[in-house]
Amino acid sequence: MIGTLYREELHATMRGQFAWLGAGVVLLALGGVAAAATQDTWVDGYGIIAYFLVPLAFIPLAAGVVASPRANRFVESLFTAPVERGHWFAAKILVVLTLAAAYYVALLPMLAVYLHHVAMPLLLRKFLVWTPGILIASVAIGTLVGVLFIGRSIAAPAATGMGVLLAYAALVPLQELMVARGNGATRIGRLALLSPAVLLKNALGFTLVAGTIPTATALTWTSVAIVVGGALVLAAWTFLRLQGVETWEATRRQGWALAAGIAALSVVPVAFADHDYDVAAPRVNTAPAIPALFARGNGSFALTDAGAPMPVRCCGTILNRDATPIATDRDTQQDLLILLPVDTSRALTQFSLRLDGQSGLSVVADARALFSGIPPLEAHDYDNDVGPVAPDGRHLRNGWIARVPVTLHPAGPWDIGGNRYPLTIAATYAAAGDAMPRTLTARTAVNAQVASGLYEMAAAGSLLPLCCFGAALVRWRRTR
Amino acid sequence: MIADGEYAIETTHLTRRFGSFVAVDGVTLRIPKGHLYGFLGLNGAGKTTTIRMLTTLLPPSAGSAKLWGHDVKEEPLAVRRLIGLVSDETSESQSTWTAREYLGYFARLRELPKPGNEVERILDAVGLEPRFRGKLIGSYSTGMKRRVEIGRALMGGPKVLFLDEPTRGLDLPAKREMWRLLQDLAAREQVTTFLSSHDAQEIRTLCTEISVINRGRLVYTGPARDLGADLDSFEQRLVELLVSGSAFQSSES
Repeated sequence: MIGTLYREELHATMRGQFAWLGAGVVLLALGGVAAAATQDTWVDGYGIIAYFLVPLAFIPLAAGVVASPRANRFVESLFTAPVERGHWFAAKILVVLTLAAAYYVALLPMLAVYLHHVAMPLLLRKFLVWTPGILIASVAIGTLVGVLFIGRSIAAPAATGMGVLLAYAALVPLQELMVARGNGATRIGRLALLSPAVLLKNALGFTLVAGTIPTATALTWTSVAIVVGGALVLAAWTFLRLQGVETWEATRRQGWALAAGIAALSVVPVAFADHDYDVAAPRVNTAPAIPALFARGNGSFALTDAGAPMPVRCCGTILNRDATPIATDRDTQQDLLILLPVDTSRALTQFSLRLDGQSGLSVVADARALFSGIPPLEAHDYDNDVGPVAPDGRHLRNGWIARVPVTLHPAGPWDIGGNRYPLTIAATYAAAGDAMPRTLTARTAVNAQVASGLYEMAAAGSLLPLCCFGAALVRWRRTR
Repeated sequence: MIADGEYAIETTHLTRRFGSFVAVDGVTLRIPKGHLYGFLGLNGAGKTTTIRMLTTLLPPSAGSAKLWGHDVKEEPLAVRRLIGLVSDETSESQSTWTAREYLGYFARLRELPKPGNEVERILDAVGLEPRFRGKLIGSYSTGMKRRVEIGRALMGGPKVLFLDEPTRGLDLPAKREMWRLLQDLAAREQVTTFLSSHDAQEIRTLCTEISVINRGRLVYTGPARDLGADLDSFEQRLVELLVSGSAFQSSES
C-alpha cells in the first residue's frame, strides 16, 4: 500500500496549480545564478545558494506538503478510504524526500560543466555531502512543523517553516564570524549549533571563511542523528498517536512530552555538540593567497587590450580589474603599462622587465618591444596628486608610461571564474642624470575565467527548467 | 423485528466531547440495511460530528458505533472498506486535478481492477459529461463538483454512503437534479444512505425514516410522515421539537 500511496502522492504533488511552473522558475533562477557566478568565484557565489540556502527551503516546503491535505480537507476523502494513516504518512515523507533528491539531481548539469573545466575543490566535495544532509534534516524538521499545525490554512506551518529556515540559515554566518574571532565556544557561539547546517558543517570538517574547525566530531554526529531522527520520530508519534485525522487527541501528559521533545531537539546540539575549534581548517581550494588583492590606487602597473589607453581608474593589485577577465588555457595578447616615476622632461636611458607568473600563469613579454632596450613610451598628464611618486617624494604631473606587449597564458584554473593568478613584476629603469637604476616591484594579480563557462553554464542551467515549463504547458493544454 | 446483524449502522450512547463542550451526547441509532435514512438538525446540532465518528474521522469520547458489525474504533480499516463520504467542502480540496485524476487516485488506492474503466463507469453513473472529465475540478460548477464527490464516495461499491449536506450551495434545479440522482443511486447501487441535512424539504422528500438531532441529543427517531402529513406540518412539528428540545416518541419506534 505504501508503494501505491507513494506513486499516487508523487503524481498528485505535481498536479498542483503552479507545481511544474514553480519548479521551472526556481531551477531557472538557480541556473541564472550559476551562469552569473561563472564571472566570479563559482563555488563561493552559486555554491552557497544552491548547496546550502535552497536545501533549507525544504523546511517550509515539507511543512506545507504535510499540512495541506488537512488544510484543504482532502484527508476526509483519504481517510474514509481504506488507507492506514501510518502508510500515508510514510508515503508523504518519501514524496518530499523524492523532491529533495530531484532537486539534488537538478544541480548535476551545472556541476558537470564545472567539473569539465575545474578539478573538484575540497569545498565543492564537502558541499556534495553537506547538501543531502541539509535536505534530509530539512525534510525531517519541516515534517514535524507540518504535523504540529491542524488548521484550514497552510499559512501557519509554511510561515513557521520559513522562520525556522531563516534562523538556521542566519546561524551559519554567525558561527563563521564567532569562530573567526575565536568565540566559537562562547554561549553565543554554541547557540549557532542549533542549526543542523552548522552541525553538519562541523561534522564534515570544513568552513566557509573561518580558519578553524572543531577538534572532534563524534558528539556532533550524534547531535545530528538526534535532531534528524528525533524530529521524524516526534512527527510520526504526534501524527499517529496524539492526533486524529483533523483533531488533537493528546492527553495533558502527552502534550508535555511533546513539548519536552521539541525542546530537546534544540537543547541537545547546543549543550553537547563538539565546539572546541582548535584545528586549522583545510584549504577550500588551491587559490593562491595574494595580499591586498582588492587594493586600489597604489600601483604602478596595469593591463589593457593591445593599443588601448590607460584605464581611467588605475591602478590596483588586480591588473585587469575593470576589464573583461582573460580566458584560461589559451594565449591572450595584452599591453602591460608601467607607470614610471620619471618626468617627461627626462629621457629614459635604461629599462628591463622581469615577469614571474605563478600558480599556472605564464607571461612572456614581446621580445621585439624590448629589443632596443627601451620599450615604447607614452607621455601622460596626471591630475593633481595621483601621478607616480618621484624619488624626491612629489607626485608627477607629467610622466612616462612604458607599454610592453605581453602574452599571458593562465592554465589549470581552480574555479570557473574569478581566478586571480599571481604575477610578480619587477621593472628596472634609469633616467638621464640618475646615478643608479631604480626598480619598481609589485606582487600583482591577473583576473581570468573559463571563456566558454558562461554559455555552457547558461545552457546547462536552462535544460531542466525548459523541461518543467514544457510539462506545465502540456498539463495546461490537456486540462484547460 | 430486525436481528442485530441486519443493521447497517448501530450506535450505542455515542458521545463526543471537545474539552468541556459535548457536541454529541449519547446518540443511540439503529439503521437497517438498504435504507435512505435522514439525519436532520440545525447548524451546529451535532450532525457532522456524528458522521465524522461513524466514518472513523473522529474517535468517540464514549459509547460505541458499528457499521455492518464492525466497530469504528477497533476496526477502522474494515469500516472504511464499507463506506463512502460526501462532505460539503471536500470537493474544493483538489481543484487542480481533473475528475479522472481524482477518481483514478481513489480507484488505485482501493486496488480496483481496471481503475480507468471503473472511473468512467462511475462518472457515467453520476452523470458527469465526458467532455468535462479531463478538465480541472476547479473549473466545474458546484453541482458538477458534488457529482464528482459522490462518484468518489461510490468508488469500490460502498455498503453505506454518508452524505453530509450534499446539496448545500446548489440552486433549486441543481438541488432537484441531485435528489433525483440520490434516489436513483440508492435504488440502483443498493447502498444504505445516511443523509445529513438541515433542509427539512430535502429530508422529507428523500427519506422515509429519520432522526432529528438538537444540541447533540436525538429528539426524534422514526418515520418522517409521523412528524406531519405534508411539508408544512412537518416543518411546523420540527420547529416545535427543536425549540422545545424535548424528545418526541414516534408511534412506530
